[in-house]
Amino acid sequence: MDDKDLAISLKLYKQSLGKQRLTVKDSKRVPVEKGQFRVLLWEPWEYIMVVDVEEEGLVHAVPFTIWTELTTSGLRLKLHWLKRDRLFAPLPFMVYLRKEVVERESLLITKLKEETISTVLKNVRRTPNYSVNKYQRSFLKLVWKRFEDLSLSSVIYTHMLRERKESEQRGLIIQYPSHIIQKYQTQLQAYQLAAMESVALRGKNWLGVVEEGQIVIYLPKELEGKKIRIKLFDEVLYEGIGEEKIVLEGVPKEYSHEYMEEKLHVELLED
Amino acid sequence: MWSFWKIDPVHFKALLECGKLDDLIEKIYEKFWDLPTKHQFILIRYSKKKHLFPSAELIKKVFNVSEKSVYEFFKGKYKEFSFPVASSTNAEFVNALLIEDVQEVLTNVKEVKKHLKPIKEFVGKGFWIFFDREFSGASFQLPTVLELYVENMPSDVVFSGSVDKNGKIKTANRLEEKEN
Repeated sequence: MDDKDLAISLKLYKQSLGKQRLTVKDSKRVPVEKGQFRVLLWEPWEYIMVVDVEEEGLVHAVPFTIWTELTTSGLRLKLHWLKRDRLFAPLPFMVYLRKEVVERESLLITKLKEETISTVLKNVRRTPNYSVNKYQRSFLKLVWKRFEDLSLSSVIYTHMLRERKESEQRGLIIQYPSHIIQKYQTQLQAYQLAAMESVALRGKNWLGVVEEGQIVIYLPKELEGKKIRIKLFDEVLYEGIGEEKIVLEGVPKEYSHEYMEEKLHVELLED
Repeated sequence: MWSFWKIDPVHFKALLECGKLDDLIEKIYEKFWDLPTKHQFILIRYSKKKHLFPSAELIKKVFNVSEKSVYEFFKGKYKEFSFPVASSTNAEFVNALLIEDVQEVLTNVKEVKKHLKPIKEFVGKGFWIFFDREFSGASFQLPTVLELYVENMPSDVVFSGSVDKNGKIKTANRLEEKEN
């Protein structure tokens, strides 16, 4: 294809660009999976090959185009779709989309074989994302622009989700005050470490599990989100909003933890 | 009351096994279907092991089974086994707890419910089977049938495959991944 044809192709592509993004009916949505070749119902349609789906829902994909001469990749994928054979070519970059967006705005065309996925990925890695040809350059930029904001926001959103999940999994962290050991030594001595110490504890309104140097405390749902005070002996360890999971760190290992069942109190400060 | 489904499964197991939840067993079973699959498996295992159950009335209501089945569940022998399952991305072992000599068939994994009937038709008796994770497919049928038939199954052999109502063994899917 010479420059004249490339210029025409690029012009046609530019003319077809619009802002419409169609949504797939709930009943027709297909869960996104690795290896799927899908069509995004944008204006004009864009195509993606799903390379990976992270646990938190970030989809890694290689975009494909039907404007095969405008991309820098020489690889062609022939697929029978909508009653005829069609050629697709990959673009030399990856895009990142949220799983919900892919399921909402794209239809499944087919599932590709593992070998095809590997071939495409190898090709994408080796293909330059810069072209000496100005029409190809301009095309790559235009397609990237279509995915750019979505990719960036998808990555940030996933990062935020991951952070929130990690913090939820970890729970609220409070420290065991080291001076308690000296202050309440006489009382603590009654709790010598037994050979078979129970790893689980239960106080008046909390459940606990002893782990390496810490106790994971679970509060009943009546205390979640409410203002609470956690006291060990007469010391206040925490005063604030109660979370379902609280981690008490720095718990001394030299005594049995059973004293906690009597001495750790969780109080509701307001209803 | 605690949201038991929010408790880490390892912690849930520790709390149960240390007897810290014994007085709450009725409350936990009330929310049985809200619990994750792993928690359900841990709970049933604990109940069978310690012979600690909620009221028969509650079991009847929660599992929607006959009173006869409830008592069979209380008394019935149980076995544990594991089998491999594979998806397009990985292969893992699923643990199963099988309760024999029960009138109906019952499971905690919705996806495999439809595969219980051929087993019942072939072995001619009901059973309850609880798994520790969600999965799909019928490859649990062969190990289940064998556990129902054989008294002392060797523990160092795993089986995978589906079985029809006549006992004919079909090919297992994704054997290569399962071998790995």
